[in-house]
Amino acid sequence: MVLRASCLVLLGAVLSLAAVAEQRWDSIRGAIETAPPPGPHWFTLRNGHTGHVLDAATGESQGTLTLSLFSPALRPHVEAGMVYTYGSFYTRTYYGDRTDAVIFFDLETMSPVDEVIIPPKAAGIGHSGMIGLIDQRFIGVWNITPGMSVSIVDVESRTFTGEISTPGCATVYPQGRGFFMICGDGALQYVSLDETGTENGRLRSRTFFSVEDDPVFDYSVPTEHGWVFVSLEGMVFEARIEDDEIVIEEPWSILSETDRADGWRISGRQPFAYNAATGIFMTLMHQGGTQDNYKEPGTELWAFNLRTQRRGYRTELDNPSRNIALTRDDDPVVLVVGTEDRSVDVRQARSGRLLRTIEEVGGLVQVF
Amino acid sequence: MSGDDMLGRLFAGVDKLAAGTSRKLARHTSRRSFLGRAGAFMAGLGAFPMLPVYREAQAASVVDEMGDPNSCEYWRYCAFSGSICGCCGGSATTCPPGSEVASVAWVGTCHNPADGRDYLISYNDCCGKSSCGRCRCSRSEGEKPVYFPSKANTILWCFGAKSHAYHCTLGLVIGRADSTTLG
Repeated sequence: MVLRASCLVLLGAVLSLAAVAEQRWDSIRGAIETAPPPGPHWFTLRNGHTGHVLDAATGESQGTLTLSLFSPALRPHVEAGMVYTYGSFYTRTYYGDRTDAVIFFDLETMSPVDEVIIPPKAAGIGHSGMIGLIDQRFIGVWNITPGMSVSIVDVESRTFTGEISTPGCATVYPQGRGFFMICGDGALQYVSLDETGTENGRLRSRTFFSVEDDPVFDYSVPTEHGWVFVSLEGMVFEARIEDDEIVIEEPWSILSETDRADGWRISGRQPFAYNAATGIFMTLMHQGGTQDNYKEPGTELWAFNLRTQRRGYRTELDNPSRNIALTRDDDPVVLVVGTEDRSVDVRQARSGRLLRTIEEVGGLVQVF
Repeated sequence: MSGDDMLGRLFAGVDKLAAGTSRKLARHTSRRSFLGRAGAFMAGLGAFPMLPVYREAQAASVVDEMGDPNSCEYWRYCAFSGSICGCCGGSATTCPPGSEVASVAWVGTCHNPADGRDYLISYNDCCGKSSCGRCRCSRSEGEKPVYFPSKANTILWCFGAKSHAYHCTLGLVIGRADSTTLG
């Protein structure tokens, strides 16, 4: 009887110890996180075949997306809980049979949950203008073979709806149920889609820039009503659709006579950014050189109000940058991707004040 | 006249035709029209993949050069973007073993310091292998955004190859930029 009681006490002690151990030590096998709903300062960085999802409000990583070797950009679709991208895949990684697909990533698990096969023509490198989410319904992927076209995928039915031939015109910048493209003759083209994702109309703007004298960057960012394009000499053009026409507003220059005399130039791969809620428009600037230096890293960040066309401030960058983006909320931060080390500076857009630096990441930056 | 001489004259004429045509197009045609014609020209290069290689061989015998072909400062690389093939088992004019040369390319106009003349340079990518990654070089003299592809180096130029996996880039002299008459 005494022995049995002793055994019970001993067993109890062992169980108690186990319970304590359970509290003190993790499981021998780790658990798997899921991502919370995206916040207003979430953004992505694509570098190589990894897409990082980060929160600029905390500097914390929320997870990564495994991309193909040919996936230049991502396209978040928060309402659907998805991030879209496209990629090219060879049966032997670098060679073999090629398959191109639009990939559907679930935002919570950061895992691919579906794909739609598209023609093996997608541009393998580039920036956010290579893929657009059109009217929350269609994905457009820019193709170059070097003939130019756009593949359309319906994200609701998850089907390929067709390829639209767009000779001489590049990029996909969505507007309404259609998209703008920049063309080699110095004009914009707008292609509209019907309910099925088939082309049902095409508009052409007046020629508003000279490819030879002062071409616009092939990069663009959206405004409240359309898109903004910037030339290598710093002229700003806003484009929108009005009464079935492409309207190009009168351009204005980000450079004063003094700026020009001092040799300041806009440059970078994502050299400007816009926040529609505040009207803040930012540019990456460097000093010296010619138009040929249009991909140079910027050494200063200039902040304008797009509505007043006036500059608010300029700030020197310790870490020169080719890539910037502004979050979409009414207290935006500007994300400045450094070129000299792999890091992103998060700055308050209204003041330019440095809030934090996120280390060991870089590449193409896109906001949610 | 030997067969080689005949071929030499034939391709010398093609070089001048290409250079003269480019300038004429640039002066007298709209950009959109130029694109279409440039596309047709590049498609033509795809149909005769040996043509640029042979023309390079012809040009190399007459172009007086100076500089290190494995350096980004080399005169031919004025609109170059990528890895220099000479650092990857090839040379400025030949792809490394096991890679495949793209049959279409972007074109730059570079100044040769050795003879003081401008030449048209074809930047053909070598493809089908993982990226070489050595001797990276990025210059953009006269380079244009992607909507003007014949002058754009931010396009994956592996067109015509079986795989568009980028390995490295060549710099082929395809003619003089200041030539205006057919030979």
